Amino acid sequence: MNNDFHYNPFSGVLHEDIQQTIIPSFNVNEIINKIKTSNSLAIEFIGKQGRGKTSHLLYLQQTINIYPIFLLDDSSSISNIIQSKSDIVFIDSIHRLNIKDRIRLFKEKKVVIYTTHWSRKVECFLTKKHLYSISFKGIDAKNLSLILNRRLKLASKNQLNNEMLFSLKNTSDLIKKFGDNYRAIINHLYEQYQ
Amino acid sequence: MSNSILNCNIQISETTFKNQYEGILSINCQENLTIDRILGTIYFEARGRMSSIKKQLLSFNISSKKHITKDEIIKIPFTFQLEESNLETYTGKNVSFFYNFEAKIQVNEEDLEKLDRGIFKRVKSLFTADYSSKFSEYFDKKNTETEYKISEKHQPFTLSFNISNLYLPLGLISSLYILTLIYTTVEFNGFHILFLIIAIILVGNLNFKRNSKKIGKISLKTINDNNSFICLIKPAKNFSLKKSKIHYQIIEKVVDKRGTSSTTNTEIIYKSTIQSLNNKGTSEIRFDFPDNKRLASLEFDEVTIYWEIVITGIHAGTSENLTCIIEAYNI
Repeated sequence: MNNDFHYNPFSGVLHEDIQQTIIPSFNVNEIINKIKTSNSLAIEFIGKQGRGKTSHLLYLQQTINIYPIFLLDDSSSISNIIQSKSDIVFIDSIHRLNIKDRIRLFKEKKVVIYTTHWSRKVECFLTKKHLYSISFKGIDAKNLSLILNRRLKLASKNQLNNEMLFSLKNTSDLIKKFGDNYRAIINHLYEQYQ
Repeated sequence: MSNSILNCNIQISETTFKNQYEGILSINCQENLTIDRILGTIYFEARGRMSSIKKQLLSFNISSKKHITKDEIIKIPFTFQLEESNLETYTGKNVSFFYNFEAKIQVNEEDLEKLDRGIFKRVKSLFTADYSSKFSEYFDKKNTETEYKISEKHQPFTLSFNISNLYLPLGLISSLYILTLIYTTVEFNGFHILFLIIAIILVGNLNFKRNSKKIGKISLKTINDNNSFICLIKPAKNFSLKKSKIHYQIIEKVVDKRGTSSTTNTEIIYKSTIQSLNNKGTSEIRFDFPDNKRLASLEFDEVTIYWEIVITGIHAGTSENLTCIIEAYNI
C-alpha cells in the first residue's frame, strides 16, 4: 500500500467519515425544511448503482440524526421499521421490501426518505404521498476532484503537496473513462493505491 | 484566545509478552496547561472494497490530572493487551485490517483560553462539549507464530461449474433453432433469444450434473508434516479425468454491500506449485506452506480467506476443475 497514507484512501468510507468526504449534490437545508414541515412526503434518491445515493442518504440522516436510518439487506423485514416510534424514517435500498410492505410503510410513516433504482410513483399514488425525486446523474470534474482530494487528505499521514492531489485534468480523464459511475472511479483508484 | 498548540506524539510497540503492547505519549505545549484526563481507545478497522468497519476493542485510562510545563515534553507510558482472537494486521487485494490507538486528551476548562481555536474546531466535530482533543496512531498486530497447520480431514472433491459445460448445449440448441427457421414456417422473434438462453442454461446445468457423474469421485485426506502438508488423493475406480494436475490456492473473497446492490470480489492471493496427479491408486502429494504467514483461513463480516485444493484435467475434450476447501491456521 502507498506509504503516504494510513490506509487506502479509496476504500469504503466509514459512516463516521461521511460528513468529511461528501459534497452534497442538492440543497441540504431545503430538503431538511421539506422533511420537517411536510405531513405526507416521500423523498427518493434515484439513480443507477454507484452514483452516490446511499452516501447522500447517510449524509442527510447524519445531519438530522434524530430520525432513524434502516440499511436494508435481503433478510430485512418491515416490522423493525414500523415498530420505530419515529414518523420520519430513512431507508436505504427500499427495493428489498415488497410492494405490499412499501405501501404499508408509506401509509404508516409521515415522511420516508429512501434510495431506489426505480421511481416509486405507484406506491406514492396509492398512498396519496407527495413525491419529491432527487436524481443522481452526471458528475462534474471540479466536484469530483474536491471529493477525491478530501479522501486523500482524510487518509494521509502528512500534508499533501499539489502533485499528490487530483487536478481537473486528472478527474476529466477519469470521467471520460468511467462516465458518471462514481463507484467505478473509486474502485479503479482503489486498485492503483492498494 | 492564544495560538498555542497542544502536541502529542504516540509511539507503540509490541512487548515480549504475547499480544501485549506498550506505548509512550509525548505531550507538549507552548503554555502551562492542566490536563484532567487522558483516555486510550483501541479500534480494529477493516477497510477495503466494501463497507469499511471500525470496531472499538478496548478503552482504558492512561492518566488522570497532569500538569504540563510550558515548552517541556512530558512522557506518559501506558500498556494494553489485545485478545488472542483479535485478527492479525493484513494487507490484501480488496481488504486490509488495521489497529488504531486513539488518545483523547481532556484539557482543564480553565486553560482552554490558552489554546488555539483550531483544536476546538476539531473537538466540536468529534465530541459534544467535553473539551478534549484526539490524537491517533496506527500500529501492527503481527503474527508472532511462524508455522501453519491445516485441519486434518477426509473429504470429497466437488466439480466446479465451468463455462465449457455450456458449449455443447449452445451448439446443439443453436443448430436446432437455425434448422427450425430454415425448414419450418417459424419466423425469428426477439423473444426466442430469451427462451434460447434459458434453454442453454438448463441444458448446461444438466450437462454439468452428467459430467459430474461421468468424471467419478475423488477424495482428499490431509496430513500435517512439519513445514508442509501432505494430500492423500484417492480416486474412485471410474475416475476419468485425464492429464490431471493438482495445486492449492488461497483465495480472498470480499462482498461489497455498499449502496443499493452487492458485488463479490474474489482474488487468488497465493498459488502453489502445480504437480502431476496419478489417476490410478492413491497419490501422496506434498505441498510447502506459503512464506507469508498471514494468510490463514478466516471469516470476518463480509471477508473470507480460504484455502482450496484444485485438481484440473480434461474430460470429453473440455477442461474441468475439482475443488476441495481445507482450513489452515497458525500455531
